[in-house]
Amino acid sequence: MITAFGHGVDISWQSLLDNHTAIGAPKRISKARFEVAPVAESQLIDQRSADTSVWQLCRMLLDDPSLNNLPPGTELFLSTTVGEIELLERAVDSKSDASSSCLSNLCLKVEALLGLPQGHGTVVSAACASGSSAIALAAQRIRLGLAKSALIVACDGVSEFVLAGFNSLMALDKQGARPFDRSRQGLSLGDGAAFMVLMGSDYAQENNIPILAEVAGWGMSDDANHITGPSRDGSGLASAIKVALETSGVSAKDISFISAHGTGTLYNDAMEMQSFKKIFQEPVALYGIKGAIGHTLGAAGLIEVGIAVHALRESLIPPTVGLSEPDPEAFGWVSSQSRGVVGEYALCVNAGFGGVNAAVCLKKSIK
Amino acid sequence: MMKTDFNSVSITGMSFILKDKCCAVGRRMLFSCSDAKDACRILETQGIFKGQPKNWGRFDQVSLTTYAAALWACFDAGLPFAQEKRRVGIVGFNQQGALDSNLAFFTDYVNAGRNSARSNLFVYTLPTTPVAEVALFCGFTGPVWYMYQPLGGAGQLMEEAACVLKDDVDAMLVICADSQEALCFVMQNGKGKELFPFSLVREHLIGKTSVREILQALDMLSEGAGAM
Repeated sequence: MITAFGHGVDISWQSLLDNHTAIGAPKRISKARFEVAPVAESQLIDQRSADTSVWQLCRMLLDDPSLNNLPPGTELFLSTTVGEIELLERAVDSKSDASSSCLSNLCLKVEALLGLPQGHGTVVSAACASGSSAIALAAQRIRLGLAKSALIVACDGVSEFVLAGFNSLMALDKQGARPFDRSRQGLSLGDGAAFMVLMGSDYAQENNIPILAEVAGWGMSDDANHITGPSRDGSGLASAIKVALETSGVSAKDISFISAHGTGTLYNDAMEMQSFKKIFQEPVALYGIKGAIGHTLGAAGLIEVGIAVHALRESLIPPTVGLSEPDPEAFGWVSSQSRGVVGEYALCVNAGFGGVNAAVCLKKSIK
Repeated sequence: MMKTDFNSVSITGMSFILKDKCCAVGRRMLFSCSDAKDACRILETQGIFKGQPKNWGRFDQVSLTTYAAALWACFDAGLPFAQEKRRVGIVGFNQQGALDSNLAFFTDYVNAGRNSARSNLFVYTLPTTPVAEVALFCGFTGPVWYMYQPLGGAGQLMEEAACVLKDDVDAMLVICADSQEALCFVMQNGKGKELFPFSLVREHLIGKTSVREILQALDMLSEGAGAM
């Protein structure tokens, strides 16, 4: 994965454990005339390059030897919300054609980069739940025997386009995102990209491929409540969690920790707590990472599942970076300290515009 | 691992909205119309459905065609909507995603001096927003997402919808929409009121990624099935 902390899971994991944040003053957004809120930009992106930020992230991310030996027939899923939206920004500024900014075009470029056959890749977009939705859809194909393996690539970057949009919604925190904090004011955007390979456990075992964790179950839902705001009572996300637990064959008490969506907006975090309280009778150890790496939109779900896999393997969860004083509703659930956890199952959730929700239940692998 | 089959999945409704006509395929109802809004008005004048989303006025073009196709398809399938919430899922697809709305949003922002943007345009810059508008208005609480796969086309997406349908939803809508035309299938479990055999339609729609291509493929199909 690539976050504003750097390239690789280890650097993000360690930075989270150290309670660091990568959110700071924006450097790439130079044309905007509004007061731009802090962001988590990747220092690996070269501003002088003709390539877009997102394409630079993809190229760095996918230059990985583990991708040289993907099982034959591996299906590609690309999770993103706006993809290479910088191409559209440039097209508007130069009054030229913007069609190269289409998500389908980015998928073709990723296929070409990986040497995969053109046109087989699938774009999945479900707002800020894109990453976890892509995991759910890919895992479903594998479980139903329709695919042997899947490569999920997720990416989105900080852009003037998205910053202007969230600014118009007054959804940005001028101090940087503080998920589940009593004084949170909004989100911070971040650069992010990640990939994940899913395959049936039989296939992995037959081919001696190490299993990092099992995608035990998943659930997706829609609030059907408001086009930008989450349902106040959390019933939509609760329904996705309920399905995820059912398809995993576990109960709420089996969950050892929760990776929350935790954007830092007033309404999202409040909604999440309502949904958790509908499912869990007692507080469960919970954290969110967007106070550290910002909201990476279509990449968020995949990055968060990646961190949760690491947490499961280490039996340790990171602090909620940016947290000073927990919101009363989150008290007893979140912490500004890392915590040891016991148990085999983790729950990762995401929610987004349009009321979309996704929940993925992970099971610790037997080493 | 056994490959799953979709024998229990049926297509129970289908609609299309074109530049000059709208149709509920199963009910063999074909009307002339001038645009997607007009197609919705026809539902009202026929006494089939009355009501509008509260944000109707700000819908982008893809949301309008998506919405009209969804309503006509639900009517065609006899699937209740805009009443109590129901666990119905929606998958939307098109080649361009939200390109037109992205351009509208960013051009407006640039023309305003890059000082401020309009949130009511920003909302439509996600390719999921049109299907989310349908979910919001119809009270559909199942999975909602956008998906596009050029080689698999509509056939592939119907397979994805069928996978979800096997799990935990009452029905799935599969919607292909651009700014002027749209088409919607309703898929449900059970064989009672099948409009088209799912497996045959899926096969015929592999690689079909636009409303016109899908309709063309189904015209060919109807010669055998006699459905249209």
